[in-house]
Amino acid sequence: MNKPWIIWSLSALCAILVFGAMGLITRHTLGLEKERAHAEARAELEERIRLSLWRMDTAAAGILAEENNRPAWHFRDVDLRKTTRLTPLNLDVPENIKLHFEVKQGQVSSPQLNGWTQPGSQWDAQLSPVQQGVKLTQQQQNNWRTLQGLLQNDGTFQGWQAKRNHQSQLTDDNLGVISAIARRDPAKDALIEPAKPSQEVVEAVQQRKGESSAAVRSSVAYQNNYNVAEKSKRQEIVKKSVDNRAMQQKAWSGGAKMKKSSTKTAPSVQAPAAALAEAGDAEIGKKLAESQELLAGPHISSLRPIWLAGELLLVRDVQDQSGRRVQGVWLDAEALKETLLRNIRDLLPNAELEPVRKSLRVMLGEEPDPNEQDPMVMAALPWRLIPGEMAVVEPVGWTPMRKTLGVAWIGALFAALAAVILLRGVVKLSERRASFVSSVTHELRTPLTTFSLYSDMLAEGMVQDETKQREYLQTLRKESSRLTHLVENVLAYSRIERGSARARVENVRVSALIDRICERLRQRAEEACMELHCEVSPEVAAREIQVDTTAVEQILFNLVDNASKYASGKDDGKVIELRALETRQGIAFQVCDQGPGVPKSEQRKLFRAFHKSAQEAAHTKPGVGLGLALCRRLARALGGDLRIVDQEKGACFELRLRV
Amino acid sequence: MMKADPVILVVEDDAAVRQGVVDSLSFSGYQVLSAADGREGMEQALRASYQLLLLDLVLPHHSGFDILEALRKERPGQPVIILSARGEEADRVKGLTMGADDYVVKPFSVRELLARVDAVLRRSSERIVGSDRYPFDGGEIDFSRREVSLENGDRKELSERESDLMRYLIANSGRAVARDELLRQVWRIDPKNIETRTIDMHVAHLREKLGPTGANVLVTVRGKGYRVG
Repeated sequence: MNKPWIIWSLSALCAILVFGAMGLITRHTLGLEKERAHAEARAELEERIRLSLWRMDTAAAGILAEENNRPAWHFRDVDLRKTTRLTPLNLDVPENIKLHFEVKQGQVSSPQLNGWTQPGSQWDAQLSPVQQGVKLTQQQQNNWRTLQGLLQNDGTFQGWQAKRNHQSQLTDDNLGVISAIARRDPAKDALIEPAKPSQEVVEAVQQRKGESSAAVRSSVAYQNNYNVAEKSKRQEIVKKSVDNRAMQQKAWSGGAKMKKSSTKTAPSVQAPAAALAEAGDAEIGKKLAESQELLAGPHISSLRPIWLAGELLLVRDVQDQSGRRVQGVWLDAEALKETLLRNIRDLLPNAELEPVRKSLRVMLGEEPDPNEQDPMVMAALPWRLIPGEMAVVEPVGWTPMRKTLGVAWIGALFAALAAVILLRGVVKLSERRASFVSSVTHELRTPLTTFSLYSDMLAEGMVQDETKQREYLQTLRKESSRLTHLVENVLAYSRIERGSARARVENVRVSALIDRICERLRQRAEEACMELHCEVSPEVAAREIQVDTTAVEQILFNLVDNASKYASGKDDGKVIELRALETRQGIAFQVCDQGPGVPKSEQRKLFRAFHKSAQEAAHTKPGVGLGLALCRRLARALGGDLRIVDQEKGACFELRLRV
Repeated sequence: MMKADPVILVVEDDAAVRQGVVDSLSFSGYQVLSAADGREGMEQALRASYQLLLLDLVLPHHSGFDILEALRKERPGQPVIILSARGEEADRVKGLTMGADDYVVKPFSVRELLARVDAVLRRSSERIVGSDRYPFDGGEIDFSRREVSLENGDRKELSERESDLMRYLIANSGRAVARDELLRQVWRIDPKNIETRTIDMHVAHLREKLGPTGANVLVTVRGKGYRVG
């Protein structure tokens, strides 16, 4: 495969494949990074949502607990003009509440009315200055009228006539429904009976407590399960907060002795008590009996939140010696919503609460609650949290992943660049070597042709003239030395390339070295009709140097050979000078001629191996462009150097040797 | 009339090889001209009168291919043998497609060189001979009998020179052959300083012998020379 375009095409193909693969890896990695960032953002958002729901449920559970703790008699409407014994509800309306109310036998009353019936009556005028301070504000009066209309609204719940409590004397559907909801079996109430988390949820939560992977935590299924589990926990805690029936009963029993009219719950508790008493555990039996007494008091259900015509009410069913009635709290939904959202602004600035209006069948426990598994619904109040945030976070800047990819790309580009440079060098070298082989072949074939022709003619007796014969033999000898010189150079260069050139260093005087090689150099110069002048000062001649004389001889012969070839023209001086000089580091030999010299543009190329093609050789002088490259390498192998020296006329080469 | 010894031009830059080739050709009885570089070789190849050119490809100033290119334009049909140290197939193919008759790779022996020179010279003379009979509109030439037979039954004898001239023009039919080329290849004389009237005279005689259609068979191309076909 000696065609450069094939090499370059294959290299380009390899580069395309490598960079294509790198591109795919980069794309995939960035995609993964983006996905991971999204998952992390989703997990973060879910965490904030859970925290927000906890905060809101905690706040709402507080309100529920506080209102649940109110005894039934706090809800009575007391006429300010007739009594001074007021309940807290007579004196004030708590925050986030519009009014408290009680519905008994179709009559709606409110402890905050304080005997007020309607505007324009003489009620205001009969109040003392102190009593004026606790009377209804204009807003509360308006609220009262709204509440009356709300609770006595006809025709809305026609289908629920059958559900009315027979003892209830209310003539409107709303009140019947409210009464039914307030008396509903708590076991069917999703708010009271928390949803049991599935096995997967439990496992997910346990896994989270351990060292679960980020991938598992970021998965949507895991988050949903986890939210459901959290919701069930919130429901449990809310239930504990609001389910204070025992406390209420205790408050009731602390007053006048009640006649135990209801024993609904007794059998379930009496049975174990009797069993324990029979078993001889008198202490525990006694305590259980006390509890039974407490539980056998008046019936008050827990407050239950419901939406009625867009208003949020808390209602409970009360049954005592005064009879059966519905008590309730009309919450200021807007104000409460604002309060709850204000608590979570730091977590979800754009969050909203959306009312969860259950159908009546659901509220009455006849159908499963569709919101039972919705983790966004509050446990305490019928509101769904709308987070108002998007879990989209694009990775920005130089993330560690991007840095790694960047480094990989830079590395790949540098590798590709290095490969291109290396390949270019290899291709160029290959081309130069091919050219060199062609040149060497040419240089070898030409003298071989002379050998073949001359030996044939001499052998065949085609050359009779003696002078001609001598001329032929001289030519043969010259060609033989030309061949020898060429072969020597090629072999020497090959040895240096392989690193197997062994220097045979010896101590020798400069004068002895010059004497040893001068004759051969002079002979070469004479072949080109030139003279060799050797100039060595006595001081330098006496210097002793440690050097490989064969290498020095080869270098100097090449230099003289070049001078003989290139500076033997008609217009050139016929003298080649060989000088030995002293330098700082040691000795320098200069070979200078008076020929055309070396153009500046050629000087750099001159020492490069195989720089000369056969065609160039034909245009200039025979040779393969190997001599000077070989000389420089030999000189450097000797610890010296070979360089061209500037001079006015001709070329001058200097071999520097360290002593 | 005796023909002169063939003249061979040797274009070779290596002095020793050139000397050997020239001496061996001279010893074998050829007249030899020589040129030492591309410039001199180009000049001689285009101007000198010779029957065969021995050409080296790698030369200073002009390469052997440049000389071949110039010869193809100026002297088509000139026999050439390439002597080259470049033995690659691509070089040999290129040389042969550019009009060389043979390609000798260095190193070669004297015997091989002389055999190839002889073969090319023989082929070039045979190229002139071609077929023994040449029918034309109005008659036929029989080169073996050097005779023209016309359709009206007349028979005209051709001289040796007329026969050679007609052969050469038929061998190169379709192109105008210059008078200098005819002098070199048919008359074997250097066209330098020689009047070409002798050619015109021979052509006129030939046309006369070819009958009434002679002027259509042997056409004069103004400024170029003569053409058959």
